[in-house]
Order: sequence, then structure tokens, then C-alpha cells
Amino acid sequence: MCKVFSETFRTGPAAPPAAVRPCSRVLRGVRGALFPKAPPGDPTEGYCRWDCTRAPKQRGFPGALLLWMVVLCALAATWGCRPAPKDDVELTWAVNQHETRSDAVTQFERENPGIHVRIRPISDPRQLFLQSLFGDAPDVITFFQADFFQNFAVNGLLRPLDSKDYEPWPFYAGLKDYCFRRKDGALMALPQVAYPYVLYFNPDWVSREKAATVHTWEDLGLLAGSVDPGRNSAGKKVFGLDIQSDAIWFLTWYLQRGGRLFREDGEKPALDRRKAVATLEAMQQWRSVPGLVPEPGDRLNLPSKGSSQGVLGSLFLQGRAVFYWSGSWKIYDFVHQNRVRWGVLPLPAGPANDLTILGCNSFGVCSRSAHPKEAERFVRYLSGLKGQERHARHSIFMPANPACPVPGEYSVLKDQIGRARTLEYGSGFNEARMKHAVEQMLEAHRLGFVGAEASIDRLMRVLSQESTGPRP
Amino acid sequence: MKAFHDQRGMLYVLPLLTGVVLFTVVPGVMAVYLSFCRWSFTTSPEFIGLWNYRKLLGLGGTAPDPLFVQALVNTLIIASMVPLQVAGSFLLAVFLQHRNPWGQFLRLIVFLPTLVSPVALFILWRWIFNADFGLISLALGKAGLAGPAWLEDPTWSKPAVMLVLLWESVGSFQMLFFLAALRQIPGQLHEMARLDGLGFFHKARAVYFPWLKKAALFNGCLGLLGALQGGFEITYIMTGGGPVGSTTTLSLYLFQNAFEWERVGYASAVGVAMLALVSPLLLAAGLLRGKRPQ
Repeated sequence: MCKVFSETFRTGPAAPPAAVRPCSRVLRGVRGALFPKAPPGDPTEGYCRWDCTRAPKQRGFPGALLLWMVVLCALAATWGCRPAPKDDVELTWAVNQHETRSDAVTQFERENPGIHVRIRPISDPRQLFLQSLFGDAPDVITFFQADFFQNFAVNGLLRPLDSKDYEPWPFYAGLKDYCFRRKDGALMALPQVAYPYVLYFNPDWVSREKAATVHTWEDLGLLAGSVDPGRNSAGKKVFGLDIQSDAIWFLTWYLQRGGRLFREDGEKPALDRRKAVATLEAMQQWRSVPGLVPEPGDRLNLPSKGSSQGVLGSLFLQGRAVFYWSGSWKIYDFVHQNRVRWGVLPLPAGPANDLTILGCNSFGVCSRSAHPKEAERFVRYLSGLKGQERHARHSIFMPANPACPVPGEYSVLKDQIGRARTLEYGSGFNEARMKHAVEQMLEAHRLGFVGAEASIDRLMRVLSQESTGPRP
Repeated sequence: MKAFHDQRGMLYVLPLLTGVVLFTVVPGVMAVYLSFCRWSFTTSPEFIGLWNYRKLLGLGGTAPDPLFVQALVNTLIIASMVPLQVAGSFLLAVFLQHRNPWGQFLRLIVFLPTLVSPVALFILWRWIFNADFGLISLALGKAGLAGPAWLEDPTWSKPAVMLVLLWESVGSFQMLFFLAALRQIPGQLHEMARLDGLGFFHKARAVYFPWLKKAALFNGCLGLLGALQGGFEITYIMTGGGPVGSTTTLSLYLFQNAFEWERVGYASAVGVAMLALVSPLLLAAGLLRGKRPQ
């Protein structure tokens, strides 16, 4: 390379300068540093030096030619790689479960010529938040957690939507405002899908008729305890009830006892100590029944919290659980496999009520979008009746609009959404820190390190201390 | 003339120096400044003085942050394994030092994990340690024994992580450094030791130790630095820091604070505490290295 450079920049013979100017001295210094003169007799002489006082030699020509060819090729390639000027608009859509969304995109593009949608999968919501804040922001963002949405909304990363345009749009009452409205009430996103937590069962272990008799957790405990599947065909232990996460277990049972997490305004915690302790004790009681509930060691918990976790971590999909308590999105995994037979039931009722937790997908337009009008049109399409119908038909996700029809076999899910509600959101709290605290508390209690009362006391202390992080 | 040469030297060093300043010194200074601030990425950093340090270390009559203390203890326990790493690397290097095709092949096999992505390795180990269908549990099951839930039981999670770290580090660069150092030992010394009929331990004391002590010190320092500042990938992938924080290291705690809980100022304070932890080590390494031969 040095040779190529030295040969290329070798110019014609130059007269020695009469007086050395300071700038040329600097240049000579730089030149000397970059291409030092070899000592006399050095075998490298003529290769790594640039001596502009000598006449050019023919052997430098191929090097120069080569360099110019490289430069010209690079320029041509750069010119060729530039997108041809066109009037079409390309929207970027940050979305989870992207494999299920292509149909909606195709349909939208067909109805809106000139607008193309490029899917950008969301691997980690926090990463997307930081990217949108400091780097490359997508045009349309999918939200699947209230805190994820609020993080975008309160930090000015979302473009407000005109509430008047969307007033007649009906959504389930269980989809709380904090899933798509900012704290001040401004509409920042539109919901499309509602995911209630439901109960699945394996008809190979328990008949549909028997499963239909489950109305309360006591019913479920008795039935799951009475079924003794022993081991499956692979010789693996089968459990009575596989639960997606301890946090969902605790929160649902606590809410079904009439408990609350936050005050109405979301500013202060409102944990009911007595109900929370009773919930933990009931959970412990279920764990003490041999073979009823699996331990974390019974599944492979991968660091990825994505779909692979659902498939590999779900004992139900391995034919190792009679019942499975998880979200309605699991149906997508179930219909795409033929190893395990399955059915769906409403979630059993608790002592005070029968509510179940509701997840939600909503869509917002990024404030940094270069095509806000087109992006809003896309959001409007996705959350409109047509977009929801299309989505429900092709990927079996429950529409957020009660007017949207669903396939008959999933009417139970529609009923579930009617009694479901999204988890409470505390605007004054560090949600991620709070989730960590709840998980730690549940883990310590499960392992028997701390009793139920001490666990709840510790959680209440963390909730009161860790509002929005450290404060002077 | 000398001054001219010095300037030229600076020009050579300048690109590297620019990188060091831009990517090490400036972020380092920023981290120290941020450790006195409250910042969650979204707003401007707010100066809060020593609040983060008071909370972290429990200054001013408050109790130190229990999660930080737990992470610190975990990190020190993991770092206590470094002498074992060095000894293992040394033994492996002695075993593989002979230049023959079989030795070459074994060296490649032993060094192979270093070339594989740590993420893939740790996921594989997660599988191996699985209580239900992991390789170890299956082997124990065949022998009629019931293994523990390695990664889900706080009693076993730390030893499991330490075992994987040991396995990963013993055949890696530490072994290569020892191999290189072993090549420096004159052949006559080996011959003399053979003629004198020295056993392995005598030979280690008389031949290996004087020639390898600098390599051992270097490996020890490297291992300690790695253990005190590292341990992020393995804990993030294999255990997520759990169960109940039993494998949370300082680096993972820093990550959690900065990127999961968006407490960047507090995370910076943890980073400064980590720097304070390794500083005496660096100082001691400098002192132990002694004077250069003139």
C-alpha cells in the first residue's frame, strides 16, 4: 500500500525550494512521519518513501492506475447505491411478533399506493426507547406495555392524535386510558389488540366436560390434583398447572381478592397488606401440593423474553401440563403445532371477583417521523375495524374493538375481555424497578427465605422508597 | 534532532491517543460527573451532589444499598477463584507444551471455546445445568442420584457460574501466555532437571517458578481485573443475576441500574466504586513489577 501511495503521488521533478516556509516545514514533518526515509542501504528503500525530488519512473504507472480505478469504482458504486429519486413514501413500523403482521402491511399497501411499510422488529423495548430518543426513530411504534407507552408519551416521542377524530371508536372498558392516553388525557396511540389471560387445558389429560366444570380456583385445584398423569410419553413428569409467571400469578390472585396496587391517581402505592399476605400464603399452599405447580428448574428459562421463551419454556407445549395459565397470544403458538391438543377456558374466579389481566397492543406515531400524515393513516388503518378484522382473521389475536367479530371457537376470549382489565399503572413509579422488586420478593418467598408477611413488608418499603429513583 | 524524533513519535501515537481520549478518558470523566447527578436519559442531568454515594455506601447514617453490597460480595467471591484459574492455566500449558501433532490438536481443542461466542457458550451451559433435562442432571439420574436445581437454587447458582468461568478462562489467553513463557525456558534447564531426576513439584519450584513468575503475575492481575469488572455476560445469560440476586455481579448491577431502571447517575456511582475497587490492584501490580532493567 505504501508503495502504491508513494508511486501514485510521485509528481514531476521539482526544483528545490529557495527558502523553506514554516508551513512547508510542517508538511515535511508530516510527510517524514508518514513516509520516513529509510537509512542508506536499507533494503526497503524505494518502497516506503515519498521523494518528490526524483523524476517519476514508469513502474509507478500501474500503481497509480490501480488506485484511480479503485477510486472510480468506489464512486460508481456509491452513485449506484443511491436510491433512485421517487415519490413513494416508506414508513418504518417498530413491531413485536412481526411474523404475524405482514398481512396487514400487504393490505394497507394495496389500499394506499405510494406508501410502503418496512417492519422493524422490536427486540427490547428499552433499546427501542433509547434508539428513538438518541438515534434512528421509527415512524410507527407498537406498544405492548403501559409503562413502555408512557415512557414514549411523556418524553415527547409521540405525536398527539386528534381525539375528536377517534371519539366514536369503541374500545373495551378494560383497556385503561394509560395504555394509550398521556397523563394529561391527550390521545397518543390507538389500541388494536386485547390479550386476556385465560386457562388452557390438554384434552388428553382431562376431558372437555370435566374441564368446563372449573369455575373457581378451588375447582381447578381439586381437578388438577385429582388428575394423575404421572409421566408423558417421553418419560417426563407432568404437572397439574403450568403458570406463565409468578408475577402474573400473584397479581391476579391479589386483584381477585379485591386488592389494589396504586391509588386512583397512580401517585402513591395502595398495597393491601392483609390481602397481599393472604395471596402469598395461598400460593405457598398450592406449591406444597406435590406435582401441582412446576418449579423454575423444570423449564428452560432463556434470557430472551421473546417467542422462543414461550415455546421452549412452556411445559404445556411439551405435553407436560394438564392446565396452562397464560395470555391469549399463546393461541398463535398452539395453532402452529400439532404435538399437543388444547382447549381454552375462562380464568377461574377468586374470592372477591373474577377479573383477569388484559394485555394490549396500541400504535402511535413517532414525533420524529418524516411522514406523520402517512404514519397516522397507517395507525388509523391498523386500529380501524377493517384492520382489526384482518388481524383477528389471520393471527387469532382478539380485537380491541367489541364490534369486531371473532371466529366462533374464540367467543370465550371475547367474554374474557369483557371482564378483564389492564394492570394498574403508577405514573410516579419506576416501573422497571418495581417489577424487579416484585419478582425478587416472590422468588425469596418461593425459596422460603422470607415469610409472607416479611415479604410484603419488604415490598411495601421498596414501593415507598423507589418511586422515580433516588431523590435528594 | 531529538526533539524532531519526539514530534514524529507523537504523530505515530496520535491516532491511538485520540481514540483513548475520545472513548476512554472523556466517557470516564463524564461518568464521574454523572455519578453526582440524577439522570434517566430523558431530561438533562440534575446535579445532586453526593446523594448517589450516600445511598450506595450508606454514608450519613443510612444503611448501604443492600443490592450493591450483595453484588459486591458476589463479585469478590467470584474473584477469589482467580488463583485457581492461574494454576489451572499453568498446568494445562505444561501439559500441552510439547510440539507434536497430538499436542497441536489438543491445544486447538482446548483453545476452541475462546473462539466461540460467549453468548452461545453460556446458553449451552444453561442447558447443561438445567435441573430437569440438563446433561448433568441426566448423568446424575443415570447414576441414581438427584441433582440440585443448579441455576435456580441460590446455594448452587454461584458455584455453577464460577465453574463455567473457570472452564472458560483456564484454556484461554492465560494458557497461551504461559505457553509463550514456557518456550522461553532454555532447553538445558529441562535437561538438567531430567538428569537430576527432579519430580514435577521440584521442577516447578526450581525451573518453572523463576521463569514463569512474571507471566503468573500478569495472568493473576488480568484475571482479577476481569473478575472484578466483568462477569456481566455470564450472569446476564445464565442466571439473570438470580435467584434472589445470588449471582448479581457489580457489572450486572450497573447495567440494571443504567439500562433497566434508567438510573444512570446511580449506575455511574457504581462504576466509580468499581474503579475504586480495582485501583489498589493496579497500584500493587505496578509496585510488584519493580524497576525496569536499565
